[in-house]
Amino acid sequence: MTDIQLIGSPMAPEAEEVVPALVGAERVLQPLARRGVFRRLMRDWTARIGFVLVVLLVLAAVLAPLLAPHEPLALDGGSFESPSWSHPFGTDRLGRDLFSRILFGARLSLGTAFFASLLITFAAVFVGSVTGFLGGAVDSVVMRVVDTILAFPSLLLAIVVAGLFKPSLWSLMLALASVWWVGYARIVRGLVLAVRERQFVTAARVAGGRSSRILIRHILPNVLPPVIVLATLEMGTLILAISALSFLGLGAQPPTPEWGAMLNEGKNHFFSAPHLMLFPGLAISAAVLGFNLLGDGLRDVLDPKS
Amino acid sequence: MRQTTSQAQPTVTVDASTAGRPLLEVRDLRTEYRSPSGIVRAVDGVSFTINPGEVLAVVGESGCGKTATALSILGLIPRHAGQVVGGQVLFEGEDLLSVRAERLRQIRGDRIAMIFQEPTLDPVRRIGDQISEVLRAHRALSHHDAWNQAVEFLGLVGIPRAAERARDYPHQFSGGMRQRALIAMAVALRPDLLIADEPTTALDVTIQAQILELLLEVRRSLGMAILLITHDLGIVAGFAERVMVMYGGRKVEEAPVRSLYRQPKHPYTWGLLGCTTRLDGNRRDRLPQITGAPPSLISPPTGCRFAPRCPHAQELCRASYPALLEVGDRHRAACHFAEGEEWGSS
Amino acid sequence: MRRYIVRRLASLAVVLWGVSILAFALGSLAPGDPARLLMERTLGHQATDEEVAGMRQELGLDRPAVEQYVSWAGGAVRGDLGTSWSNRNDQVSDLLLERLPRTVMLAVTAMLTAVIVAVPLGVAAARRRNSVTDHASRVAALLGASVPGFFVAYLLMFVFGVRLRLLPIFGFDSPQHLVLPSITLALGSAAILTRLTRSSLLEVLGEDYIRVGRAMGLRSRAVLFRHGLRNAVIPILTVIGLSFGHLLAGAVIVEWIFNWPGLGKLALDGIHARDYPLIQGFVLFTGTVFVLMNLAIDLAYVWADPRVRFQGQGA
Repeated sequence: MTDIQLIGSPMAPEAEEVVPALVGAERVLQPLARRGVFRRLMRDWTARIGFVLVVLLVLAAVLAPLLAPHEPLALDGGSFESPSWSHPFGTDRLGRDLFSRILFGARLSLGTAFFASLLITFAAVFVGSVTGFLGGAVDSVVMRVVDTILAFPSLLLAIVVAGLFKPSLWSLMLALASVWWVGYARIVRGLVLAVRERQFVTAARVAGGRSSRILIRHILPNVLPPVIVLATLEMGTLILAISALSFLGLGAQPPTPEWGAMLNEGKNHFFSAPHLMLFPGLAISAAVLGFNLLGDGLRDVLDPKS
Repeated sequence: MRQTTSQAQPTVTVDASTAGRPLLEVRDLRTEYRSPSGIVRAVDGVSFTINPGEVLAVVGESGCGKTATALSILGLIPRHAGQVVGGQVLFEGEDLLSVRAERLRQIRGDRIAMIFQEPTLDPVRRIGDQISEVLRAHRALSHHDAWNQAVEFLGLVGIPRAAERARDYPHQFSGGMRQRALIAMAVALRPDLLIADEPTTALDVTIQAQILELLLEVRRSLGMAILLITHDLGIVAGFAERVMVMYGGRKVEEAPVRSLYRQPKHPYTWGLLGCTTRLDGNRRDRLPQITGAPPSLISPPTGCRFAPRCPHAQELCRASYPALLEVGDRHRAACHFAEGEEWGSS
Repeated sequence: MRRYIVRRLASLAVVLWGVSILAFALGSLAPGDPARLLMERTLGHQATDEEVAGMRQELGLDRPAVEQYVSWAGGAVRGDLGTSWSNRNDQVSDLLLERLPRTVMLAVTAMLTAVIVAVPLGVAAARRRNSVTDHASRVAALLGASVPGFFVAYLLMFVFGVRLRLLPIFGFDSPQHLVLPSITLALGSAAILTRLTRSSLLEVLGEDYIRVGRAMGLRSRAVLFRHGLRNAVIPILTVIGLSFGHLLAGAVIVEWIFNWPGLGKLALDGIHARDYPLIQGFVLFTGTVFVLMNLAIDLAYVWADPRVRFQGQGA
């Protein structure tokens, strides 16, 4: 359901010429300012569930130190204890409390996803608006780079890039951003091209405005909102990618209580202590589901066709 | 009545037993649409009849329920969008609203066919194949025979080099030619009734007259009745025998064409007639004589639905809905003052 | 039409060239000194600077980057992707070709599974909009798109492998070994495909020509399949093509979990072992496959849509 806007029109099947995601972006541009987005969003039961999940997740991340019954790294229980009152999700091999680790994991997952999307948005807006605004050789070279990276499934390339570095949450974040920015950059470029032709920009040019000033004053304000919305919609995908890479050992390393890394740790004791995988797995699922539900609902609300 | 023996027989045969009986009789039809803001009463108790071979025009602004009426007759209201909630649609005495789905399917296309405003065909299939498919859905025909009949009918509706053009895809046809192809598809089974929903609205002005002429020609040679739905009283004059005017989901006036043009009884009809002087006028134009917007069919006004826009409205009009009364020979109108005053003379 | 194909092939060549540069760069831009890494791996202990320098010369790493790229790409054109640093020093190309069929088998099985489940489900949902089926398919699709495959894999293993003992969970020895990995892999694609089938079919079913078909008394089955699904097939094909790329990416994770000796596992082992020639070869190889697959999707359009087929023929 997240890929629907990738579909090109059957009349113009050439990937290079169709920027279908742009259509989606432009659609969200105007009505964003419309009032009552939230109220209309909450009319849909799936979006409501998504909202609740995301709010719970954010609360868990913010309040982790208050809510957690134990230190996430403290070895203060027996090995592989099953869920009990003192350890609601049980304990791992070293006797660490799983519930506390998952609460702190929310910070890492959300935080990494948030900073990664910040990085992606920043890179995309910079590259996309500069190339879109300047055009010419710079534009065509950068767009060929974009085409090349887009030829790969993002996750695959992110795995390879992350594998080149010493694994950590930072290298994971950089790897994700280095791959993910391209799709956004293409969208930004399309938006800039569209905005550039509008009257008020032409007017500013005729009036002799400096390029950088036109870019910042007139173009960016029109480009940023849809990109930010897109980044929000993709939060679920990013969380999924982060946990996938960590699960493969290419991101957060033990003893970091990152959910994907916890799954990786747990898989060695899967047969004897399945709860080690169950709870981190459920946490990832809930987070991704929450953002996807919210994103889907938002997309519906912002789509003037509905 | 139903021509099962000879496919090529071009004249109408009116069976003695069915003579005098209407071909289609719609009684108190009620259709509702669902919308985010509530139930829309698109058709609100409409009754009318069509006799075999007759041409009836249904006229009104968009949103007056004329298309909903046509779709209801054939059971084509999409399930998620709305439904027929009451009334009867008697086709040769058989109530189409209560027959089984398969029976209704057999009637569609074969006995009652319909063409629409937008001349669209399946973009990925050849035109000849699409017409053959309709033929084969109703008759036991071989591929070959169906194709030949399709070509024959494409020729009949004026497609040049029909045998060749039948192999074309819809995008290779112009809008007017597609509408011709759709007419060929609709009449290929020699239906008794053809419902034409704004068949010329989406076409160029120059093509409009040709399509109307074609419809009349087809009717002359095949002898079916036509229910023409239009917002344009201008095209009705030379085409229909009787006219029914709809407003706000109800029938407000009904008369033989001549009588309606000479002595329109309902102020709404008079307003409509006021804008029929130019055939080439922009069809999206608002009716110049009638100010204001059509009524909301979600919570319609209690009295006469036209009262808020009517220049002659009285207290009575806002209080109670006028009954549909005989005001002349086969001429009926739903206006409290239809008999008292000639709106046109003022 | 011909102009379109020529343009398409030209842009294909440019992207392939880009893919080769990217593949090469990924291997040579990596931090650390590959010569030292390889020398110490072969020696099993700290290498002296002379040893490392010798290794660097042997690998050609002392030459300028452009020269290295040209000789690497030249080899690649002839099918020579160099020697793997792990895997008993096998040829990279041999390794890739040996593993490819297994990954293709997995991906194709998964794709078929996804299509067989998703298309009927999407059709049923579109046909009965807002029905129980529709809502159930929506929930299933949401879960399928949100629950990570690497979590589902273990759930499946636990239920079918450990509890019910119905299916083997690791390895590659029998057709039964294919079941769990391909289900895991199919999940995400099936979710997307279900929703897409529903939405594109709904869009087509709202078209006027569908109403025409119904008004002309075609059987509802004929309207649904011959006209509805036939027209919805274009976006569906695109998503199947795109999902194939995602499947191959997902295969990396799934193969690793189920110990399925395919391309993905090869690559991941290569990544963990810092086997740069293997990584470069893998990126070049898969990149080429994806680019060609996109071309195939575009050609499928031409097959599926006469409007494209007849473009430029002066219709």
